[in-house]
Amino acid sequence: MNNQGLYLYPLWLRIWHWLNAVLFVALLITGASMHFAQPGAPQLDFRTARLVHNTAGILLTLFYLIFLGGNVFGKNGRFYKLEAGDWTPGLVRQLRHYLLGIFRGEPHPYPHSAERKFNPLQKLSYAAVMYIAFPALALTGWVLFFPERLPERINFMTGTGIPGTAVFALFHSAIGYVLSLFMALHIYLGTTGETPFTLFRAMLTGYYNGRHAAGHGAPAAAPPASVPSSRV
Amino acid sequence: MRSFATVAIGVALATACLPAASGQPPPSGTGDQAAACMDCHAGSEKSKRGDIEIDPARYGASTHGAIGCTGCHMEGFSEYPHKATRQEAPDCTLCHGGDSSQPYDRARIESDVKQSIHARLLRRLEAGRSDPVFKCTNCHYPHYFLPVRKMASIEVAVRIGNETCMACHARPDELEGTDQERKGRAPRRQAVEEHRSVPAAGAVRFARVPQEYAWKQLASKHVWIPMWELHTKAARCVECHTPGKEETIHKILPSAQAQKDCVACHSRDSLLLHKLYRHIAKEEWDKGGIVNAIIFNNAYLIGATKFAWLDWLSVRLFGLALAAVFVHSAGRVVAKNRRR
Ligand code: HEC
Ligand code: HEC
Ligand code: HEC
Ligand code: HEC
Ligand code: HEC
Ligand code: HEC
Ligand code: HEC
Repeated sequence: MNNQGLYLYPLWLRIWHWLNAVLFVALLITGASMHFAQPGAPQLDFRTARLVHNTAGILLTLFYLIFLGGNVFGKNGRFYKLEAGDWTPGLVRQLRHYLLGIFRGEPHPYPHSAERKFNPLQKLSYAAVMYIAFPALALTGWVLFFPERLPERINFMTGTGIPGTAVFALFHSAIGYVLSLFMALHIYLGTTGETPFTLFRAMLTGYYNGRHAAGHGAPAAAPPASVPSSRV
Repeated sequence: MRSFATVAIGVALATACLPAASGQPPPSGTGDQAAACMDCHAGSEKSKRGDIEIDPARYGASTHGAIGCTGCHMEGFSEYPHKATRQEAPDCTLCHGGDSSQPYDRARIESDVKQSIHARLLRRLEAGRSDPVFKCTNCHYPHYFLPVRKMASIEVAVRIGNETCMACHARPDELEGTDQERKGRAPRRQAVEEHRSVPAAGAVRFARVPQEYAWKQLASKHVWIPMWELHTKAARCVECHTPGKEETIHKILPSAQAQKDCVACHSRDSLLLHKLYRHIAKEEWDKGGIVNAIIFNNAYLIGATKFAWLDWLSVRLFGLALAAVFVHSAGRVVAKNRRR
């Protein structure tokens, strides 16, 4: 802690976070513009969209592997480890705060500290996103990278089956939708700090200058509800 | 199986529209006659020559299976050695000219072929000749011909459609399959070249297909399209090489005007609907909550085939989330002002 605030996010982590953000947005825009391709629509050129989508997908997978390696071999994984009390009362209290407490000006129930970076909602949603949804998205994406290797038809209950590509495309786009939804809420919850900009500024400069719980009895401050990828 | 009635009508039709050649009545060509020819031409002991073999099964299943051989090879073949040659065989237009009834607007097909780049190149080559035409049989092997809607599947239609072009735009030895199979993929280059040597009326005097049109080179001309092989398995050459969403596959344009816009296919109103899939009834287009289910039944095509319910649900969930964010932030502002 110095007079600039609490130094929470080292430079490499911020770069990692924002690159992730840029790549994800690029994937979202290019993915949507291919999915909703229409002649004459104000969209990215299809070939450009495909190229950008593939490149961004490869890079994002790479970044994810770095994250995974860091969590397995480094100390970062502990922030994601679920503990007793995360669901109840943790999640309940956190949700109650967003639905009620925040309007009454109550302090955050899980103030920020160097030992506990995530509140229960963050922990659960980030774990779901980083350990389930994103890997599934990346995996289906990589499969779709080689459509010519996929079975022409996959038979479920129906007689003729459906194209192999379609099965993976279905999951890929469904998970893509879910993660986009997550990202929208993630950005919004980023405004729930001291001021709407506190948490964004922290993610840019590394210094968190809101109220926090670093050792002394200062009033609880909002943990940055944003940035799933910020805690390597 | 074709009924006797169809056979009779077919032959009557064929005979009626053919010009009575040189006074002699054209031999009727059903049943026994075809069998007589097939004695040698079905690839029996009597004829080991691959290039005159005709697969009786494929011939029988084809559009003209009911017309006997002599419906087209009218005279000069009743004994061997034959007195006539293949060059006298009529082109498709002779029997089908000017007929605009659906599903095949043949008058349109004929004029499209005349406007195609092949006919234009040929006209330039043949300057001075009265009406040099790029014949239908340059692309369609008459003995095995089937229209798209009678083919076993879209996959087969794509394969045969592409082999039609590849017969000239690729070296024969680079095509897969046995000699017999390859033979069905008319016209062989050799046939084109043979036409050059015959100065008969209507004969195609076509330039030797240059080597750079071989398959590999062809692939290299299409490098801008990703996964070229995947594309040639799910779409035909004519999809891109004929104008936009016009319901024609015969007006082949100069290559500079070929389709380069991915979105023409990869969108809801895909041009494939107007070409490859045009014979499938419109009611079948969207089915079971799937946009362009007819394409989906054969291939997944990003931008064109979609799960309508997934988009519906997702767009609404997203809208709901944005609305919630709006209400929530408004609530925060109001609450903050009140607390002051
Ligand atoms: C719809 C008309 C039509 C019918 C019916 C037809 N042919 Fe042909 N045939 C042609 C045409 C046109 C050619 C010339 C193809 C070319 O070289 O461009 C041809 C060529 C041939 C050739 C030369 C080799 C080749 O493959 O080009 C043979 C042999 C032949 N026909 C045999 C037969 C036999 C046997 C039958 C009956 C089983 C038959 N044809 C029925 C139109 C027909
Ligand atoms: C005795 C065996 C035999 C019979 C029967 C026979 N052909 Fe042939 N045909 C041949 C052979 C062999 C050739 C190869 C060309 C040659 O050597 O003259 C040929 C060639 C052809 C050609 C191609 C001619 C060219 O220009 O290359 C056509 C068309 C043809 N036959 C049609 C028929 C039809 C139609 C019948 C039945 C009415 C028939 N043939 C009956 C043996 C036969
Ligand atoms: C000798 C005259 C003759 C020639 C030459 C001829 N046809 Fe036909 N065609 C017929 C007759 C007769 C029928 C009707 C057959 C039937 O319905 O059984 C027919 C039917 C067709 C049909 C309708 C098939 C369907 O099921 O809807 C198509 C398409 C067709 N021909 C295309 C062609 C093409 C392409 C060529 C050239 C390779 C050609 N025809 C050459 C006589 C001819
Ligand atoms: C440059 C090659 C070429 C020429 C020349 C050509 N066609 Fe075609 N034609 C095709 C191809 C390719 C198809 C599609 C086949 C497929 O999808 O399997 C086709 C399909 C057809 C069909 C079926 C259409 C359908 O939708 O089912 C008819 C009928 C037809 N052609 C008639 C003719 C006639 C008549 C002529 C001469 C006036 C002719 N063609 C000349 C390439 C050609
Ligand atoms: C009978 C042989 C033959 C068949 C079949 C054939 N082509 Fe061609 N094609 C040629 C030849 C020869 C040229 C001219 C090459 C040259 O310019 O020297 C040509 C030229 C072309 C060109 C280039 C025109 C330009 O702008 O220079 C295109 C495009 C083309 N063909 C498309 C097709 C398509 C699509 C099909 C199938 C529907 C097809 N061809 C079937 C022989 C054929
Ligand atoms: C996805 C659309 C598409 C498909 C499918 C396609 N082409 Fe093309 N093709 C094009 C375009 C666009 C060009 C012009 C490329 C250029 O100008 O650089 C072209 C160029 C060509 C040329 C001319 C090459 C030259 O040297 O000028 C030929 C010949 C050709 N295509 C044949 C074929 C054949 C045969 C097939 C089927 C196996 C096919 N094309 C399938 C879009 C397509
Ligand atoms: C003639 C129509 C046509 C055009 C033009 C076309 N495509 Fe395709 N494309 C298809 C079809 C059909 C498939 C489905 C292949 C399969 O999965 O069997 C496909 C598949 C694909 C795929 C694999 C993913 C998927 O949807 O299955 C990609 C990537 C793709 N196309 C990119 C492109 C790009 C980039 C362009 C423009 C340069 C383009 N396509 C132009 C018809 C087309």
